[in-house]
Amino acid sequence: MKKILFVEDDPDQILMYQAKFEMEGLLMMVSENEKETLKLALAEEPDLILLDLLLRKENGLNILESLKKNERLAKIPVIIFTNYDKKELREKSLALGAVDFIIKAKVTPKEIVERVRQITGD
Amino acid sequence: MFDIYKWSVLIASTLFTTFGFFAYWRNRQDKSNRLFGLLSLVFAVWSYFWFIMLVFGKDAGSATLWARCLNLGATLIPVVYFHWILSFLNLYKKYRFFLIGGYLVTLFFSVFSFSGIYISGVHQVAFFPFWPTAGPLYKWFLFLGYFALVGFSSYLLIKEFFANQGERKYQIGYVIIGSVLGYGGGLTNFPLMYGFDNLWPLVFIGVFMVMASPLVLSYAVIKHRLMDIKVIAVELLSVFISVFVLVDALLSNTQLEFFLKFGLFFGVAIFGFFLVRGVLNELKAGEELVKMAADLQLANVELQKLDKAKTEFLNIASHQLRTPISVIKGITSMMIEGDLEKIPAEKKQTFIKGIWEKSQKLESIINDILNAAEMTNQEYTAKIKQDESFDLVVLLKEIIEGFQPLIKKREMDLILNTADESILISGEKEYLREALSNLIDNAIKYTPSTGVNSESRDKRGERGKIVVTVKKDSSNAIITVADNGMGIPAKEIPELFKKFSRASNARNMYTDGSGLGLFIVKEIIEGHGGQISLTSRIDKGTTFHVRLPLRSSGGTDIKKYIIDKQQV
Repeated sequence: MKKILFVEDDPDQILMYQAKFEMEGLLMMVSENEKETLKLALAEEPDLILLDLLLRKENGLNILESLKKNERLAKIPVIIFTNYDKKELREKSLALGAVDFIIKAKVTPKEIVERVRQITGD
Repeated sequence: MFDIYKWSVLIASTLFTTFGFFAYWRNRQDKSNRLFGLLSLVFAVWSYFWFIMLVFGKDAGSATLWARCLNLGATLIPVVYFHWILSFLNLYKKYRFFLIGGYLVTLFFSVFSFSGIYISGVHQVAFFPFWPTAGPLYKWFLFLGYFALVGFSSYLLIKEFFANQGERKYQIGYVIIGSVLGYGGGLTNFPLMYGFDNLWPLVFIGVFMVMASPLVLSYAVIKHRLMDIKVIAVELLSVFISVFVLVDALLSNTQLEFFLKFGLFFGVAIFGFFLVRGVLNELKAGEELVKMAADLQLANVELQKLDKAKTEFLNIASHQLRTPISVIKGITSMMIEGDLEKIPAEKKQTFIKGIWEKSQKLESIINDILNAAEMTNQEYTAKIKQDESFDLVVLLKEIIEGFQPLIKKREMDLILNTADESILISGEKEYLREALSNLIDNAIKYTPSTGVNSESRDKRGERGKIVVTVKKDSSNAIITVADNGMGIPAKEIPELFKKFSRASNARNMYTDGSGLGLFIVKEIIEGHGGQISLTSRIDKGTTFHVRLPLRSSGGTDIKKYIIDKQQV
């Protein structure tokens, strides 16, 4: 079973995506900030990370940077999964090493599951 | 050598007279210009008497008289200069007692001007047959008049020079240069009065410095309207020709010649008048053009700012609109795909409730955007009806009642404090409901409490508390909305009521706000002739203060009010 780490702090979205991913046979863990994300990623070594950019107190880009700086975590594929669509952010995310930049409102939960499967080779 | 000096002094005198008159004549209403004219006059008195002494001083007796006359001029210069500088720098009120002191001291020395203790006589210096000799009192004038008043003036000038910017700074700079030239030049005369005769070459440098001084000073006085010189030249030319033709006419030999020449004079005078007016109009048009260009530039900067704010707003707004949409779309797509059938009924209910809540969120964001757009739309017509009076206390009770479910969920307290049973107010009830609801809604959003729901994402140990008070004085209703929430950083308060603005700490906490709420509130309150302000302390809370007139003056048209404001 593939392990997915979802970095998100909106309870409604967590509830929805977690339900869908589990239905599809994927394990979804959730973290809300940088500290939690790094700790969880190091402990669980997920197959993929879904990262929101606008978090309550943090900027998702900083988390992406920290992940890519960490030798053990740098190889984990990261998808930026957000509703904040800004050209500069997209470019910067991809430059920092994100594999994709997906706008939540533009895809259904099924579609994001398919994209995750595609990348993890599930 | 003597001749060069003599004529240089005459030229300096003439320059003082001409430029003094010029500045005075330029704008007689301006006190500073009048004083500059007076200063030039005392300078001229001083230098004309120099010239007279040099040319007409036949013996020691007459030369001493002229020497005393010129020193009377010299005695008056520092205090008049000080007076002019105070007026020029708009410091007259602040230092008027110093000025009165200066005049008293000057009066004292003037009294002794014609006695031996001030100017004891004359003596020969190099090739000058006569030069004034200082009496025992003269050094006190040098200290109290020359050095003290001029020194203090210089200090004020330098201070103002550094405090000012742009054209004013240059103007003060020119005054400083002119003063240094004038007083530096004048200073060269004194050593010779005390018998340091071998310093005579200095007075040559001095006289040229003094000559340059009125040029620089007058330039400073008229610089900001230098273009007017064109008008003056045209005026002078017109007057000169007219006078010439008139004199010519008056000297006519025959009646016919007189009528012809007088006709010519009449024609020239009218032509001159229109010429001057034409030049004046051209200058005015030029000035207006410069002003318009400046205004346009300012408007452009404002537009760029607005454009930046709009882009920022679009980015944030699209995020705010997409977040509920992604949940609504996600859950409904799962329903279509039959996913919801696979989960327990209790959880299913949570999902459906999620759709409901996000739809409401979406509605409120769209309302904010539409309201804000409406507020600035030309079509917007909301006239406050004078006869529509309603009870503000009842309105507030209704609003607070509406918030109760949310308050319970968040484990907060929302209290209304009022000593008045009812406060009747005239105005647009639904708009005021919107404004006051917005204020209370904001207070709820940005006050973390012990309870949490999907509306607010923050939680803390302390219970959130919001107190609304309403009271009235003779003509106003005063409403306050106080919370014990996160507070607003002081430097962001002035920006807060602008469109698309949100405090930085609020941006972190609650990403669903549209950034339009307070803008709408302010527009509504001010449209009713009221005022809104706030006080805030970080982590202690924020209090909004609203003042609303009980009777809006003369049926304010909110639409007109807002449109007018946009145009200012």
